[in-house]
Amino acid sequence: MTATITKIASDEFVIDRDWKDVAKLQSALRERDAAALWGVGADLGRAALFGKAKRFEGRNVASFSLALTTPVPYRFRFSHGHIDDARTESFSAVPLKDVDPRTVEASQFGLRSGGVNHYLTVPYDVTGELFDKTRNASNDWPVIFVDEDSGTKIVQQGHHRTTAALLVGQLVRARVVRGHFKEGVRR
Amino acid sequence: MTAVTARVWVGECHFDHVVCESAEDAVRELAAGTTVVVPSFDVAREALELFGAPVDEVAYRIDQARRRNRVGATD
Repeated sequence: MTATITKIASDEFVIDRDWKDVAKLQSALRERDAAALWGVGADLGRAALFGKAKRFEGRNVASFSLALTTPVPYRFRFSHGHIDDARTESFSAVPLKDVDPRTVEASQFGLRSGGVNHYLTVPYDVTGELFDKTRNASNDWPVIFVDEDSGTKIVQQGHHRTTAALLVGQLVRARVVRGHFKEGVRR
Repeated sequence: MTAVTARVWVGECHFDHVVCESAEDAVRELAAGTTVVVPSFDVAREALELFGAPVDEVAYRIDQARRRNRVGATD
């Protein structure tokens, strides 16, 4: 069942779902259970990711605000610095693959609401229109690193695209680069 | 096989797709949620512009795809 967020005042919103549904998702996110967001839909997902209770009626949340940033819903253990570029494929040398956004980890801590909203509202799959307007070939497509030793998949580029795909329950079309962590990195 | 965007390809495609000879056909299929394969970058450009993609974005994506195609990189 889809949900709809309605703006009722400056930085004040309501959603046509029991806030308990949102709170349940937020609880899962605190445990980095990104899969809980699979296919929940754009607005319920946005409320779970960025919503903060603002006004109460009794013990019920009557309205909420939407934060500009939020922690990425994925487990975050490794950054770009942990990857051994010399033993990892180049993004420009690999074909595109469809990746299940429930199966990845992140390489950055946060998300911007504008970025997630962009990919939930713009038909990026067709137009290729990016939130980040900086032209950079490394960002043209999501890039997902796969550690050949452990199978761990880490988003290197495209955290907002991957999260948006997660919310709508779609695979994300990405360049999947296989490689290795640097020596000494604990997995 | 070269991807201009996730759902617009030129030449071949290794995902589920529909082959479209014209930009108009491609737009119809794209609106239905399909991945399309068109015969040339010119048809891809026309289809994306007809679909309503920003002109500067289309130019950038076509240029990047042409570069990959020129060096034989496959998508």
